[in-house]
Amino acid sequence: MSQEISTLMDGELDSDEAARAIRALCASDERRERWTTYHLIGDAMRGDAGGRAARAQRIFDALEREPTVLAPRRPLSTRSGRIAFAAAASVATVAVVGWIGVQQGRSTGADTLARGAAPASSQPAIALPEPKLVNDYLVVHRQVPNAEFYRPASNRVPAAAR
Amino acid sequence: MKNLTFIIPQEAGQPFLAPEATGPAPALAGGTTRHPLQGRMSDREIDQQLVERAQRGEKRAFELLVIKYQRKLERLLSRIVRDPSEIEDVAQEAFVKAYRALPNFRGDSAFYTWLYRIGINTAKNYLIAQGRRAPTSTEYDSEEAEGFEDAVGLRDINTPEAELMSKQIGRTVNEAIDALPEELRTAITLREIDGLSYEEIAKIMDCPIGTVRSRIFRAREAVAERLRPQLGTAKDRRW
Repeated sequence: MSQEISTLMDGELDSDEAARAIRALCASDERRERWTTYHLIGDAMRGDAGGRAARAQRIFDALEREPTVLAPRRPLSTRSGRIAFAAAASVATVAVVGWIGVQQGRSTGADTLARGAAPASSQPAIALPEPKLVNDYLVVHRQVPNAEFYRPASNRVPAAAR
Repeated sequence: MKNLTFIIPQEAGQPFLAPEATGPAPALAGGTTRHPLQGRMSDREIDQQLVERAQRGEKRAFELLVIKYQRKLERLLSRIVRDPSEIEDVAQEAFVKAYRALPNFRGDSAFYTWLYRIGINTAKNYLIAQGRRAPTSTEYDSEEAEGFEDAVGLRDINTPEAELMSKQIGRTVNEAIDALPEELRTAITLREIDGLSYEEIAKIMDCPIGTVRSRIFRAREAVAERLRPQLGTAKDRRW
């Protein structure tokens, strides 16, 4: 596990390995000491190690006096989570609007049928003649006057004269 | 920079240029081959995991972040606060404030950006409380903190006692590095001084990444062994 801590420090571990190393690191004083010493070595090589240990200890002491923080979990706190949520909301909106449209289309056709069918069911049935019979009836009984009817009365030829 | 006794393979003054990435990825220690960056947990993700553990009540996880960023934060603060002992106080206050504010950290920015912002605000408030002029907000932008690395042009931030300890530790580390076999010395120098990735080191040293990983670890262990008497044992201190 010490080698994993060294590699974790350099940001060269896979996600799974890194998660394991972080768990192990948080669980052991000895591993945390390694983490600190490795950082100290790096600082010293860059000429920058002065008093780090003493100052870190002061900070730890100050943190020790602080009440432990407990933050509520935020399952959608990440940017990708928010994007996923927005995308899901958009899809849901489109789906609802589409469904409403489809339902309206269906109901219009159904209403037309229902409107045609409703009087038949709610009123006494009336036997309607076949269209061909209606035409024959109109031809036979047409009330349209002939051309003579529209001629001015003065110009009308008396029937006797004809 | 102090203690410039390390062997840096490339010529002085010549920037390091990584060789062109050609051919198959270097084999891992176990003999398998895969792209070196595949599935690797980034530094930011590692920090996020530690933050989440601290948010669930694991104070020790936050201490690991303190160790990781203590020196960087102090160097940043040294640009605002002059006195070394004041830097120490402000850094401590900044870490405590960050710990208290952890429930509000949502991971929208990197942890260190958030921490540095707290550090800068703490330093400004400190100067105002002291009746001194605080720098304007544009002088120390937290965006700049992301790229802030190091020591060029910075003053020494150590107190005299810390300076003495720094020299002792530096000497021990130097001696331990000098005593390392050449391949371990080169691997850890390329990592710690030049900041190269394992992949880049593997190409320079013409060996698998797994070997680089092992060499750097062995080098750290050898140096740590020499340092332990100077630092005390885990029984003496909590870290």
